[in-house]
Amino acid sequence: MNNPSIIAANNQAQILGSGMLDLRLNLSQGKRQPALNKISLPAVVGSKNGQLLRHAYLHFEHITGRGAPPVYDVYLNLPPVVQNILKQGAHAAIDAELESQHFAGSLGFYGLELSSTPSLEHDGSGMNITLDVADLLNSLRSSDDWNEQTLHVSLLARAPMTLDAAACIGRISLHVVAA
Amino acid sequence: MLNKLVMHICLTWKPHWTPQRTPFIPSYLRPSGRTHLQQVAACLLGRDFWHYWLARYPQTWLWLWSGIAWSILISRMLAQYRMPDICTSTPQLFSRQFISMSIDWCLMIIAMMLPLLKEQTQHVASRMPSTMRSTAIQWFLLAYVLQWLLTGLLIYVLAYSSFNSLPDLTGQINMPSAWRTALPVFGFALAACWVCSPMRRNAQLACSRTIPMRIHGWGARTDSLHYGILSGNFCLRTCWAPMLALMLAQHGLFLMLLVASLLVYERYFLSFKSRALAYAWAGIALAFLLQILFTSQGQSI
Repeated sequence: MNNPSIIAANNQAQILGSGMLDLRLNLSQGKRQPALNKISLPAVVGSKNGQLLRHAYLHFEHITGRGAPPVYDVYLNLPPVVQNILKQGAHAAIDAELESQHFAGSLGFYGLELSSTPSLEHDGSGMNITLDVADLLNSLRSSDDWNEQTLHVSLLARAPMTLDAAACIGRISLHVVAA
Repeated sequence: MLNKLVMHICLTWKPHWTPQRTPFIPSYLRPSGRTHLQQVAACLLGRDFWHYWLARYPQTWLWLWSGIAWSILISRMLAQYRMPDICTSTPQLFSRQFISMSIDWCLMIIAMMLPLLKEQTQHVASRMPSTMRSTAIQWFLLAYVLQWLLTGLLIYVLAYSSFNSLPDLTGQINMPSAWRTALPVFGFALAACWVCSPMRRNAQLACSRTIPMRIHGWGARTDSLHYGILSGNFCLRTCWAPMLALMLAQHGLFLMLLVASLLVYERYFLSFKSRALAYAWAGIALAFLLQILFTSQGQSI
């Protein structure tokens, strides 16, 4: 089996709040890095299995914070209309089927404070959470509106963040293994 | 401890005992239509195999650099019929002594400490794209060695300003010769105590601390440098006691090999809660003590 290769990363620390957090992963590495890993994610045309990803992992690394932040749902490439509705907090107005088509997984921060604090049991680097998004990416790449330059990652809190809680994601990266 | 050592050696030589069995040459790199020996030879000569190998085992760099450094140290010792200038006295100008000491100190750090960086190197390799992987690892190692080198130079300058040369730190201290020869005993006894202290466990856990790293251009390089300096700092906090003991024992080559092997064994095979290394340091201290006792008895006879 090939090792997963990183193809995109967002290094800006993302502070999580009660609202929706939307960020972008740049899948095209620009002119100076034309062939990063020689892997790109073009749209899947027809049913060519050779273009599908065998594995794709979305890594949330160095998550640090305190208290008990709520569970966050992760969506990939949510349509702008849906994003606007979610930003306004009207979660119930979203079509459940449309939502499930973009749903990547959930982030639970149990033990966040413990793993963020250097002690005799932890190094204090924070939590790392990985979601397997191979099927979702393959299905998104089959859709008409697939953009091979940018991947939108949206994080939506299931409950408001309490005053005594905080969470920050150090890096989000996408690792893939081509089929 | 011995049982664990035997088990780990068996697991190393019999990898099919482990749950994650990986082939030496993956199927997609294996050329077809040849004998097995030809397949292996063709793979080893191919660039793709080494690309695969370094991606899967980035610690190969560590063993490569460490092996080269050990070879140079041993060849220098054989050529000069004495230990290199890490801690020994040579009647040279300050600048020459300084340069010679810096080179030997670097060689010692590369030889002894780089094999301990398996976890950190794997972190760098897994966080970087394949085009950037080897570069990032080299920048990380450079910063790590620089951190240790600066510490060595600081000790050297302090010792030179006070005692005129580094070995005189242990040679010119105004104390009875019996006490002076007992310094390695104290050094290794201190190292044994340090292993048992909670501060050392804290420092050892800090060695696994990681940072988010960028994957493009100079950002990736500076992040690798930053991570190397951090790792060097944590490593200094963890391993200062055995290195100080080595300094007090005047860096014998056999002792360096023994200390490096024990540190590697601890890092690769033992839990961070294990006290086995404390027993090993205590054993070395005891050996030095017995040597002093027998030497003094022989002189009195």
